[in-house]
Amino acid sequence: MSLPLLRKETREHGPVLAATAAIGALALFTMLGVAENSGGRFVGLTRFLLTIGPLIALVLANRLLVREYTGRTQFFLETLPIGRTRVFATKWLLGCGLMLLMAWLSWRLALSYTRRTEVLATADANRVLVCAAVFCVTIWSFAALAGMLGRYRYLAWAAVIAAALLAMDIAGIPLFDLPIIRLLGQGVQMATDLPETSAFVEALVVTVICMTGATALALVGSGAMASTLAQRMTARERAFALVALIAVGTISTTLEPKPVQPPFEITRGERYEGRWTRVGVLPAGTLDADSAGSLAHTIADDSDALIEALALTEHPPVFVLAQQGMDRHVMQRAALDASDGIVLKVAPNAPTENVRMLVAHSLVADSTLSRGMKDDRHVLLDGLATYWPMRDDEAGRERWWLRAASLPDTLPVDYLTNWAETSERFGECQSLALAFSVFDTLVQRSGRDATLAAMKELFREPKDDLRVLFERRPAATLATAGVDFASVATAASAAREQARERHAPELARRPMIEASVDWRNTPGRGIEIETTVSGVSRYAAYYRVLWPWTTDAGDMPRFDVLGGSAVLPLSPSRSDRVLAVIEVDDEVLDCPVRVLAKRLEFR
Amino acid sequence: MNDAIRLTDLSVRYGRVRALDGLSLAVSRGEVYGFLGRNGAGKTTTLRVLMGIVGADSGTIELFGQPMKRVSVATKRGIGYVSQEQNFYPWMTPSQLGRFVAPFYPTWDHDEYVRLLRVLDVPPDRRSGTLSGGTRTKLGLALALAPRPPLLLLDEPTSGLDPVARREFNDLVVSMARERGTTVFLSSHLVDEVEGVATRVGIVQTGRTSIEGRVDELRDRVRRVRSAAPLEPPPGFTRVRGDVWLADGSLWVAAMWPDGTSVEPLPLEEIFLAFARTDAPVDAAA
Repeated sequence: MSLPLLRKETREHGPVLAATAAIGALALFTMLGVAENSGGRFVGLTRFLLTIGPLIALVLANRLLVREYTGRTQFFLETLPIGRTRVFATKWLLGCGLMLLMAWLSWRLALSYTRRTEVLATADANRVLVCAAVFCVTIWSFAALAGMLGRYRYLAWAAVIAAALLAMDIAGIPLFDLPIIRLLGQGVQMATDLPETSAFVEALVVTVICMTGATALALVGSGAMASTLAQRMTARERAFALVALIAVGTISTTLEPKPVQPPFEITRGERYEGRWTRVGVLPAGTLDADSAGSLAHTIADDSDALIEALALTEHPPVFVLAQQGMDRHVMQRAALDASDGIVLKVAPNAPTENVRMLVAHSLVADSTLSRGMKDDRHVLLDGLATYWPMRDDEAGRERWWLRAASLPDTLPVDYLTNWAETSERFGECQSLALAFSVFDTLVQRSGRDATLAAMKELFREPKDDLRVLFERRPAATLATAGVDFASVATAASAAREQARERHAPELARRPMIEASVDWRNTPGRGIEIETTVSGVSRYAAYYRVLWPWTTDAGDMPRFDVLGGSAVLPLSPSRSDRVLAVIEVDDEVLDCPVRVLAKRLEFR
Repeated sequence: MNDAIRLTDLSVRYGRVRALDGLSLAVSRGEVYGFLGRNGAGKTTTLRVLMGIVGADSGTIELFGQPMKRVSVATKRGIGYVSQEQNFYPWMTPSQLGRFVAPFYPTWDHDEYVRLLRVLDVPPDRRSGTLSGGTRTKLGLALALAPRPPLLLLDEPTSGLDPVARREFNDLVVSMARERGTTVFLSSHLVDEVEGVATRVGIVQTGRTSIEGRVDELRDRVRRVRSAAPLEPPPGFTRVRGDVWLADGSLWVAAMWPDGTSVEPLPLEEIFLAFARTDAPVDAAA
């Protein structure tokens, strides 16, 4: 290393590197926020390293290596009493150090972000750091080699990206199984496991090869090779590059892709194959084999009927994994591609109607490429999903009407079309009951067949391109089916009022609950959020720091409280906004009820 | 050994191109050596070998009596170098350039650098990218002289300067060299420039030295011989090209020339033209 050269590099590239760091930090924060609901603790970090990491390596190589040759200042350096090897080593190590710094900083930020909501062992976190560091060093070594190729550097990058795309498209290799990228695979994203040793060996080999290549280009022929390569591309070379890019693009679109293997096959548990749907249910705990088999059969019937009623084109397999220790009202869906299947993790004693409801919801949501969950129609999707398991079950429907009756008698006019806000306010159980009340009212007014015909129109598979922007609004679609959305809302409100009268005795048995959320800022302790509930002996508090653009809080960390009050395990800063929610188990409604949802600001 | 530079049978190839082909020369300590040659004759390659930028394929290099295969970093600390192109960092001012370069030279004299900038009229706080070509060359000279090197290599430094600036530059180099006893190796294709400052001259042609010696000595040895009838060179004389002959100084006096023969001394430019042209081989190295 040469200190004077190091100082020169810092001074010369400092502003650009600072700007790059600022953009990188913004990208990291965005990715951490976006990836928060993806399930992995370090999904945001790995996405950042995979997308922004190479860009930063490219910028560093351009600044530290390429610029010296294209600006011909390399000749000036060579007249000074400093060896070419030392110059190259200084620049290579500086670039490597900056990449490692980026890896460490992004890891540290991701770790702080993760630790705000969950406990993570230091050893697990350190494993992620090791993988991030090895990935960054490998990427840098390639960037340095590409940089020494001068005018061909972008071709080198394009070749690597094209090779990766071809490997994924044609050979069907998943992104995170590709060499080097597998350092950031699922084990690292979940901070549970290191990649296989062979992944590190690959990275080492690539690093050594790239480092040797870059060093050779810098030193062999007294640096003449690097100087020559730094010159501009000739017209012939540009034409060749263009033809090569077109050729690769043509090949990649012409070759038949290898059929994608399904990510799972139902081989365990109780299986049932319906007309359109294959279902597997894995027994556990109180969900014995007979119950699991029965549930599989019921889900297959539900799904087949829904597929036929709405003419859904996707027929994904369904797998329900019962897992002991889970809350009976909590259900989780694995983050798979829509066509890969619906994989649910539930408690063995989970209400089967809830499981069936989630399967129905997933089927329609996936078929509409998630457009069924847009705010202006989500109420109908939730209503359909809640209604569907109960379609031939009078007692079950009445149970949902009891839940709907527990809602306030006056609701804002637009509560059906601002569904994210409504769901946040009432929680899952009561918002589903509200959706059910609307859908069941619609069925009672128009008849089941007409309602399903309207839903078929509403939840048809959308165009997967720009034409989706020109689709009709849900109200217009329903109007063509003879359904007036506003009058349905009014009728549903009246139906809830009638349910309130029918279920007055049960509703009177519900305890009076008062809840509050307050915050205080104490010197030395920072901001603390305290929840207080009276009328029950235990309750669950949910919380989430909201980004400026967050509308739907999504899944939130849960904090179970015994007693009246508790301080949430969260230390927000003054600029944060926090959504705090209190839910209690309602024995009358047989589901958790949200008694308070409050957005806090600390200014 | 009194030689500052001694190159023996030096060869350098760039792929198929033979840039130096057995070049030999010697430069005494404290002298200003003019290294003349046409474009592409091998001047810049010779200087790059002396700077350790390019390694020689064969031959030996001796600097201040130290033989070496390639000029090391330690040796470069005793060499000042001004190239024909000044590739400084355009965002650096002369002051910043001085601070950047100083740590590489143990003998760096900051006061001297500041003085040189003042004497050479180089603004210390303007970015080098905004300086004129002539000022950048002067800046290069200041950077080369500030470490007080015993050897100064100049690779056609005045090629972009106007005649006045060129004269000023050369005068400064000569006065500095005399004052400090610095050995100056000045590469150029401008004969009048070299003639004005150099004590000894070497002419390089297609990668090898075709003749070398003091300027007055060259004038004494190379002359134009004109005669009415065709004349073959007698023993001791060599025909360089056309009517230009080479011989030891004393032979010119002792020779018996036929009637109608005139022997005329030549200016250095004529000597250069005779030895630097590549249309016929010259085999007259001193």
